Amino acid sequence: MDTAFDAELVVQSQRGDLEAFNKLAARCSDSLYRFVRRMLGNPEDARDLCQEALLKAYLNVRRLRDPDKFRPWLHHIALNLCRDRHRSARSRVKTEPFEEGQQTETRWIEAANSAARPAAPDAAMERTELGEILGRALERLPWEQRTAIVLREYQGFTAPEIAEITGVPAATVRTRIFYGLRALRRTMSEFGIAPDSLRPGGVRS
Amino acid sequence: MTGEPSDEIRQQMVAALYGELPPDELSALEARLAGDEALRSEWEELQGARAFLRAAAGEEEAVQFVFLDPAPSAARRAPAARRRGVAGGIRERLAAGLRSPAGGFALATGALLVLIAAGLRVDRASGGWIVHFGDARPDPRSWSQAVEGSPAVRGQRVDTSVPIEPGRSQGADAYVTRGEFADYASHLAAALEAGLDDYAMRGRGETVVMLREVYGQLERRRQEDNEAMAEQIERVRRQLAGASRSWPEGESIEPGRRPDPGMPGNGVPRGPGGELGR
Repeated sequence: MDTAFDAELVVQSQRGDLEAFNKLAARCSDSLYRFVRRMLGNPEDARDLCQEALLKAYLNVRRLRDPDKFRPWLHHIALNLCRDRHRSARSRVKTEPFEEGQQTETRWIEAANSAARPAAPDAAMERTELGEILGRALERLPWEQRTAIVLREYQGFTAPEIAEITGVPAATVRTRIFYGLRALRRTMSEFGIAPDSLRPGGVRS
Repeated sequence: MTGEPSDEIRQQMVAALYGELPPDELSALEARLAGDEALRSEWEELQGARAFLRAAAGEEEAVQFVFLDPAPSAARRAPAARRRGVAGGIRERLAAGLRSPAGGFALATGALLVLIAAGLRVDRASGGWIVHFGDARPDPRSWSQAVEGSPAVRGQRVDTSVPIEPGRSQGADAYVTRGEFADYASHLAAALEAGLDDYAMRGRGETVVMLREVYGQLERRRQEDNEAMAEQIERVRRQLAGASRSWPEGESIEPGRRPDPGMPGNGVPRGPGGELGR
């Protein structure tokens, strides 16, 4: 990601250049979507939220004092929206009938069983299964740990940048990552995934 | 390591995991890991979790968001609409008001408002009303002479060329007399002053509404006053000069001649005393 070019586009956007902001949005949208998708776990919600975040960014781009910080700032906006959506979703889940929750749980158990089964011949299918487990594992994590891990692992932000996005010290961010990774490791064990089985070339040996 | 790693070690391990640890601190951590099996196990656990995160990431779904025009356009329009809502809205409403039949009167009243703001004063004097700017009052003698010597007092036409309203031009009192004008200006000033006081109390947001109310009050008062003044003028006229005439005494108008600007009509007197007779 060319931060200098982004900054130039931000400056142009701040002068009211819609075309520049469109370019900026196009450059950030993929990454933003992946972040939101991992935070929320729902593709439809993620698309809606990304559009909302981009619109908010457009409306407030003049407030951004440091054009070099556009990406962290955009993630900060998206993260706040994610948090609101997460809270409202959690409150809705509490009122859902028991049967629905049970069905959801069943679906996840199936995913876990399939993940624990011997390696399937289709690597793509295995990757999909692993992805489902990852989704479940991330969902289990406390919100702060999930945020820190996704921002660090998938969005490539450094601890100080995550600190800026989330509004906590960098040391706190690292602590959250530490405990988040540890929790993930426990989930791996639970699903029968051995670290040795994960190879850079393939999903499982 | 005994029990939980310290906060410092946790910080260093995570920093090392993502390549953020300075070389000297990394060397120190490596040495520590080599001598502490429990710590090394913890480190491997973290590495395993990271490997899982990378392996499970899967194919990155490519999603492009086209930042469509409607939202930004709406956003651009919103401030403009807000601007119209304040000054622009007032301008538009005033323009619409001035296009209405009462617009001319509103414009005239607005002009008078400006005059008042610029220092126009209307004072009562012994012989009538004095309209002047600031403290510079005209010479009372000239005013009283003008009033006393005015043809209007004798029932003659005063060529002010300021008809109040089209309807009046049909009657005997075709023109505004000096006294009428002074009275009208006085009432107008009083009404505007009251209106301005209200305006100051209610705030700028209701400017247009207030002005329209003022116009309405002025129009009503003007009509009432005109009726009263017309009666009074007629009474005085009858006492002093008999029947009214529409032209200056001693002059005659040739048949068919177009009236002067502001004159109500044209005609040949049928006899002494004017066209209305006695």
